[in-house]
Amino acid sequence: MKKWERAWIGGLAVLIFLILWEAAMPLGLVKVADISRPSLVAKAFVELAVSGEVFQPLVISLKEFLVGFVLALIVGIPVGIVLGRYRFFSMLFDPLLMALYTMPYLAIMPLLVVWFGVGLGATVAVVFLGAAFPIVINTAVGMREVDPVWVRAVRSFGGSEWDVFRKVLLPGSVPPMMTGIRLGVGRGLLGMVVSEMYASTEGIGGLIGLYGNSFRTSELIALIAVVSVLGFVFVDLMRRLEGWVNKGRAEAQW
Amino acid sequence: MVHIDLRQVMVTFPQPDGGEFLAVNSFDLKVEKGEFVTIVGPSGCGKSTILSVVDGLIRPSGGEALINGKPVTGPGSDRALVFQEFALLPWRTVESNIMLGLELQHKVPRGKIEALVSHYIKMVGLQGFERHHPHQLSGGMRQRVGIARALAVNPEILLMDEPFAALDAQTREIMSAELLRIWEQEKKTVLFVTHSIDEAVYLADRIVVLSGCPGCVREIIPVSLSRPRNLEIKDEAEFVRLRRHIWGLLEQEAQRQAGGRAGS
Ligand SMILES: Nc1ncnc2c1ncn2[C@@H]1O[C@H](COP(=O)(O)OP(=O)(O)O)[C@@H](O)[C@H]1O
Ligand SMILES: [Mg+2]
Repeated sequence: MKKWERAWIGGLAVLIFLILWEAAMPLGLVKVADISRPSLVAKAFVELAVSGEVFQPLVISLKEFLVGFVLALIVGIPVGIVLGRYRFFSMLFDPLLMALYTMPYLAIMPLLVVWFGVGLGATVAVVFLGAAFPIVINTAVGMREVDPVWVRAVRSFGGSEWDVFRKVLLPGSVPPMMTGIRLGVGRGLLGMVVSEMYASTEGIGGLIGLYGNSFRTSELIALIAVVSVLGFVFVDLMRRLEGWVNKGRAEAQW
Repeated sequence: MVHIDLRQVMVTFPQPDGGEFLAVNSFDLKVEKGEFVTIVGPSGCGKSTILSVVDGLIRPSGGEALINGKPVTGPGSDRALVFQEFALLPWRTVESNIMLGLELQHKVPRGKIEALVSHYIKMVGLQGFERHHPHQLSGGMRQRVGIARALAVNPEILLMDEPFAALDAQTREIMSAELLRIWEQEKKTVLFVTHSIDEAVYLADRIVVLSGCPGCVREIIPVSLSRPRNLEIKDEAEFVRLRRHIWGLLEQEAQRQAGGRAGS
């Protein structure tokens, strides 16, 4: 019941927003090039889809994102585990890591272009950089915050260090790890779009740059919506994966 | 036959400033096979540490801990610990939590684990909750899982560290009655730490009263109340006498700690 109420009220707000947006231009409040209208955005979206103009860039973007993101997972999770497990490494690397994490990583785009070249290379690198840090940091936090009494329980049954790791530390740090992965999806997608806009004319970002420069606001907004949907799909996929890894685990409760 | 033999056990913990903190000093105790011994004492006097020594999680810095005459070198399948905090893995179901020890000890073939688990689920009265997660259970039920998990590895010695301290008074009474029922069936040697004098008397064959000086035994009190016991026994004269006696011992301790006026 509560859930429906929530959806209903939220939906109403969205509807009012769309109506106001649609009405703003005819009422003479703004020019169409400034904010477009929902109906025009929808039309642009359909046209982009029908003409197929969006598909090839979408495939390129997906490839770049996936390569960068999977690399971030492959590198980020083990590094996070090591930093979370071994005090020595965390003392050694934590300051550096925090500095890099808070650095505006998009600002080093020009360097990445020099290192990896225009196109796929630079974008993959940006996605990787954006996604890896939250994954590393949250995985490490998860490892450290595992309840020590769980570890004692495994040890008291004669469990080895390896048992402690696979029966407690790893599953116990999944929730923070998932938070890191979700943050990583957002930062990775942002990096992907900006890199494509800045460093290449390919991919969804390239297309956004193109329409943005020629003030075709409706297409621009339609493309941004495509990226949002992409982000949503990835986060949802991750959530499903999490559910599959830990069947029936109730995340909210602990 | 002596089952657990603690001889002048001493435990020190290294401190951040480089010094040593004396947590248990020269603790002596012999526990017979099948005996139920409870330990009461002010908090911080080393009760948990003593259990950890018997379990093999902590190595004594001095003296020795013997099980069946052999020195403890680490945790073993002949001992199992029950924790005040339950220490259940929240992502596992009741069933799978109970399996933990069996999984870790590889003593029982995979195929037999399920039968064992369902046996102990029945023993602690958790039928119907096999697929529940710990957060869906009340405190009392969670500790039933903790007890079943310990019993499932079929240990000879059950070490219980204030297992009912987090429960409300009524659940606590029910749980201790249940524990006695299970103990009469299983005949384990039990070392049970508690804060509750009532609990200590109700359960024990012998009560070890500790004093504030780290892990010093103040008195070891045999309990002659007949078994099997039910909760009515708490009204018997002998029970009341024991409770008053222990209360007196602990009060002296409390006063000594609070103001150092015990001698006056
Ligand atoms: N791992 C440890 N490191 C340092 N000090 C500890 C450690 N474990 C326990 N202590 C200290 O040893 C003393 C006895 O602890 P404990 O055995 O837990 O007492 P109790 O269970 O009787 O309350 C306490 O003062 C506690 O702070
Ligand atoms: Mg304790």
